[in-house]
Amino acid sequence: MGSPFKTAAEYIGATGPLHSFVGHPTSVTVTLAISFLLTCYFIYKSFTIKH
Amino acid sequence: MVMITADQAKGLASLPFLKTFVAEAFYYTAGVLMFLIHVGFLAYEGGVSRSKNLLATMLKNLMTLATVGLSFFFFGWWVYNGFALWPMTGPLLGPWTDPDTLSDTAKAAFVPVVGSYPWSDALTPTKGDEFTGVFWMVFALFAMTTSSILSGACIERIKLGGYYVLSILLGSVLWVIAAAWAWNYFGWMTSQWGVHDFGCAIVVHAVSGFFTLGVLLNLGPRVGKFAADGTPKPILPHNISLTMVGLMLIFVGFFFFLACCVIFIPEYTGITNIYGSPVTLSMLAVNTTLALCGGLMGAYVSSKADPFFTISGGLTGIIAVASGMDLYHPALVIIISFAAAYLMPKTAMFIEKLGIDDAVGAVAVHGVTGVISGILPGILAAGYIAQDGQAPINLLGQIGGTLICAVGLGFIPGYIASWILNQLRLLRVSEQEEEMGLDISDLGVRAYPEQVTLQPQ
Repeated sequence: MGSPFKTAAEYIGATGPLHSFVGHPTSVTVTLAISFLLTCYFIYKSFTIKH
Repeated sequence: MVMITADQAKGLASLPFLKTFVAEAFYYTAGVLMFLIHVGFLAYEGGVSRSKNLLATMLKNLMTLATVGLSFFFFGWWVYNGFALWPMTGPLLGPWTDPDTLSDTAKAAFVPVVGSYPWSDALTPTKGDEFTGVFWMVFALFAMTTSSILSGACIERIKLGGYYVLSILLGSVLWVIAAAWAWNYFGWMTSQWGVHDFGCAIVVHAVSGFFTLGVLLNLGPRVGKFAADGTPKPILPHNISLTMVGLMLIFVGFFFFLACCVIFIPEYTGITNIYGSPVTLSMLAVNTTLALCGGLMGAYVSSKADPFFTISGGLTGIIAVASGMDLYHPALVIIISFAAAYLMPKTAMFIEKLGIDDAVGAVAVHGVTGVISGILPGILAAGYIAQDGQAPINLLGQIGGTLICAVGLGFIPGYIASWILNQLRLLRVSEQEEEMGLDISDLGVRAYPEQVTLQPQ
């Protein structure tokens, strides 16, 4: 992951996605999966945290 | 030839005014709503303090507006504009500068410098410049926010005057130099090293967090904070609910803070970050919200649902992504904010174990998280080039810029300044005043005059 743009002009003139996962669909899939699992983990922990 | 009606001609004639007014109104509105950060800090710090120190704590935070606002008018605004090129790509620009000796870049950088002097017409009521004043206000609010970060860590034992001096140094000099270098269209850290800090995680949070650490080392802990063997003892907040309401207000203000990190001036055809690269409010809306959510989750899990750490986690999450949030996918934002907020309570407790009394966790939330945030674009968003001829975002540049700001403009000056104040006996109240409570010793009033408050055993 990194800049999908090779030059400053390309970046400044961009009309589509700007983020560093452009062209890396696997990165998008993996991070979406991890972020979803973290959310599920938080819900699970909310039942198990006791004092 | 296109024929237009008289009404259409009138509309076109008012277009330049509308372009200016919309830009001014955006910054005016967002800038004023940034005051919610200060409402929030007032409540946040007040709630964390013991009741005998409530009003002194709140007053100290309130007066940050005055100390920083005034000093920012007298010299802070010039520091931001004058230091951008110095020392790496040009001279220190100021009233002594002869513009005929400047390079083209320096000439362009010199234009806002002229408008930044307190005697300049740009900040007066004038039809010649309808814009500089709103920018000044927004930056002054940024400056006040930066000093407020120091304010919370020092509660219950710092002398008001000593704090005011430190607030001016941090709020109108140090973070402003960092911003001139790394959060400025002309800043040399960006043009030479590719440093990218969209939401000021480095220049505001890393600088202020580590400045605070330097001050805390000389200020010392509150009386009774540590046992004789060094074991930390809790000093409980007198009103944690006030603290939580305060942090919620800070979250709201933070949305406006980040909105003011977006650049929108009349001649533009799109909005950009401070470096002139494209951004959208849509990005800001999604990524700020998800960073808040991820941060709350991470701190909740890590601290086992401790209310203070959980809500601090929301702030941690936003700071953790602030540097690169204009370049991160939302899923990445959730992961970064969760991880940083998960780490934050552990960091805060580690700092406490070192014998450092940071009443609100400012070093962990702002300093450490600001450094993490500053380094991450070098790993997760390398290669973006802001302007032709500039260095791309890269890991070494992000590390170098972050460390210079956090240590060189944060920790070292904070330590030296507080050491000097300490030697002059201008830093800390006496032990007797501290035991009595600062509301009585500094202000001669009680926050709750009709209540008898019980002291914890």
